[in-house]
Amino acid sequence: MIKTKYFPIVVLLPIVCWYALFFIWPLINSIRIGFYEWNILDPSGSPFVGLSNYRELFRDDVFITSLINTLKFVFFRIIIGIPLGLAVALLILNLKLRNLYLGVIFSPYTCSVSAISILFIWLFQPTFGLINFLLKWIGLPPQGFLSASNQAIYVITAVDIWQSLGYTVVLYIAGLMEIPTEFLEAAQLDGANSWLIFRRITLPLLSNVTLFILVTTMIGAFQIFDRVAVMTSGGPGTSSYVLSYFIYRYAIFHMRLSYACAAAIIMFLIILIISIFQIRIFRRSWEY
Amino acid sequence: MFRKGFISLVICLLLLVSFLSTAFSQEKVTLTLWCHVLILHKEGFEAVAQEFYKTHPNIEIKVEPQSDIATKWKAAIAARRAPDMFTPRAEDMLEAVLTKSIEPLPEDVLSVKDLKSKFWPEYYLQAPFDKAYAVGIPDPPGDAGLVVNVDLLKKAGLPIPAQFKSMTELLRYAQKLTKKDDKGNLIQAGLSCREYNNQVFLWDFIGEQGGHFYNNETGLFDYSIPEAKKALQFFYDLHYKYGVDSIKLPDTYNALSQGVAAMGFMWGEYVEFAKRVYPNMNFSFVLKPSFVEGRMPIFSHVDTWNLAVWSGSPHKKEAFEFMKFLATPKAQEIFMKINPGMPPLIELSKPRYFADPKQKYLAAFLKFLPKMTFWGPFGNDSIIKDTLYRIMDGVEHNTMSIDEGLSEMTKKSNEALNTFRTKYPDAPKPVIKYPY
Repeated sequence: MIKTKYFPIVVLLPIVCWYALFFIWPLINSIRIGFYEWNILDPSGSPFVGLSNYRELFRDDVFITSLINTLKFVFFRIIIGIPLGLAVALLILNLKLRNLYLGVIFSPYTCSVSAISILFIWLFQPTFGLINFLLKWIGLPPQGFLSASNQAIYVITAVDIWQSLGYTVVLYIAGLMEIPTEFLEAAQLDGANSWLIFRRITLPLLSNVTLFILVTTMIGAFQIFDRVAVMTSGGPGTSSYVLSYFIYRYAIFHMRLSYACAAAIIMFLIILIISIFQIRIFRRSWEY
Repeated sequence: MFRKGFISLVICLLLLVSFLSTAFSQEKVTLTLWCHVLILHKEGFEAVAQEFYKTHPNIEIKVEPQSDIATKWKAAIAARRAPDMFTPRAEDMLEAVLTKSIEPLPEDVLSVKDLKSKFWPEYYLQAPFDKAYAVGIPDPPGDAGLVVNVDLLKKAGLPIPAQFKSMTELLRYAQKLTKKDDKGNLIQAGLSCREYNNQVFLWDFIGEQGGHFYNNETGLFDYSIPEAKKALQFFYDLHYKYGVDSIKLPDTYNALSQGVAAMGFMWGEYVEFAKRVYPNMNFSFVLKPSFVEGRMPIFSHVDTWNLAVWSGSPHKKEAFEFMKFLATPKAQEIFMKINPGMPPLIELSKPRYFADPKQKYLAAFLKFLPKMTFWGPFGNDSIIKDTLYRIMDGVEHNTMSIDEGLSEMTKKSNEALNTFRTKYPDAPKPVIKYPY
């Protein structure tokens, strides 16, 4: 019979062990490996190189490109994806067939990232694709899209925003339905217009939902890999490389595990700093 | 009394028979063999394994094709869970040998004397220690030439030669096969040039002009030479001067299979592979010309496929038996019938083995076999080749100029060499025998 005072420890122990094994230990090991020129085939023959990998990273233009592309991707995912999700949620909130619309909007989110990516490769094909056909039809010049080095990362971002719109809309719908209608009615009685109600009541009361979406979107966006791997393989050249893809190429394809670990640690630190900043800035406690 | 004695005798005889059958019966061993995910490799190994089984019924070979095999076998070795045998490519052989990941073959399996006298040079040049480490399989070099769409060439009224005589002839074909829409956009490439082996074509084109992009004395790459600029300029001009390819069309592999490229620099086994995967398409193969008219073209089999034994395999003895059989002309011929290609064995490189319709398109290559060059092994060859490919892709997409591209090639290639030599300070440096 487990004594009451030990019960929490016993119950928490498995998850703590799991966390330590699959998160803490790999993190510590990655930090360690980053200081060596690690040889996966012969670990005993791995020379210690100190900060050499980190110095090399910041001199590597492919890493810099990856970092900038990742920051661009995260920025646009947040700046466009979240407001768009809120706008769509507000649009369908009071519609009769809300659940049907929600189902349609959410369905791309349930599809495989690879399948959607392959579909969009065909849609964005510069010579035969539907998107350029429509552009030509309305009199606009056709674009290179995935074959243009200055457009590829933005196309990938657009596809990602489209596919994950449903996730944001569902969460915002849930958040909006939690807002007591009395607040909105009282504001209307006091003469507030829609914009004022939205700015002073709806938006603040959605802050917790917004914070959740912001943090999860940011973390997910930093980890973008599969869409880049399928749509462009980091090309043309290395113009659509992102951090996760860079780490994959160097760790798995080039077998430079220590170099990839150093890049992964930098990515981890960036995500950590931004997450802490977001939580501090956007944390609110509102009570109904 | 007699009955008791008879029964005892029978029991003794039965015991003796069961003991003898146990003593002489051999335990069955199953060997795992990882090969590249190409169907032709899988079927080739299976056919050889089937033949081997007839004389070695106690050794079963399980062929397991793997996508991304270069990564998988390394990860498997790191986890000490590698298969008994696997196919490292030429670019990984040196590292596999230096880290003792693969077992040297005993002299009775494949002696160094036999390796050097019976096999083409590229197989022993890959691992420059005086030992045999792997057995090659039939495979055409990735820089041999171009896959052509037979129907598109016929439509254009162009005959299909065994080899293009010159770059002028190649470009003439390419321009005739190019199609544009009414707005001048390319809708059919006359010559698609975006394939992963393009960096080897680049090396060949530099070498054919007499350029030495790797300095044997310094052990470093140098792409600042004029021959390198001319070679890279050619790939760029295919898009922007001759207009026979476009970055807006798919890459060579996809362009050929989608019928939007009439010709493409592509590995030769694509022809046989396409028969299975794209049965409605009709492809053939044409050898490439030399970059310099009148000179013999350079061919370099830097992308050989080899079978090696994992040094940690618990069934090395049985694996060596299979390797010994694979190195024989009989096994190589079985493989070649399924996966047409240049045989590693000199003995099989005779016209009669290329009379079969499957192999015929490679017959023209036979005369070049004795004169092949081998670029490498440099160490970190896979990183060097990947880097070169991406830089060439970048130049073709105008993300950098040709001079910037060449400068990047020099810098990144030498960085890769430096990383390799930091890990393996005792690694031998290659000595490239430039034909010109």
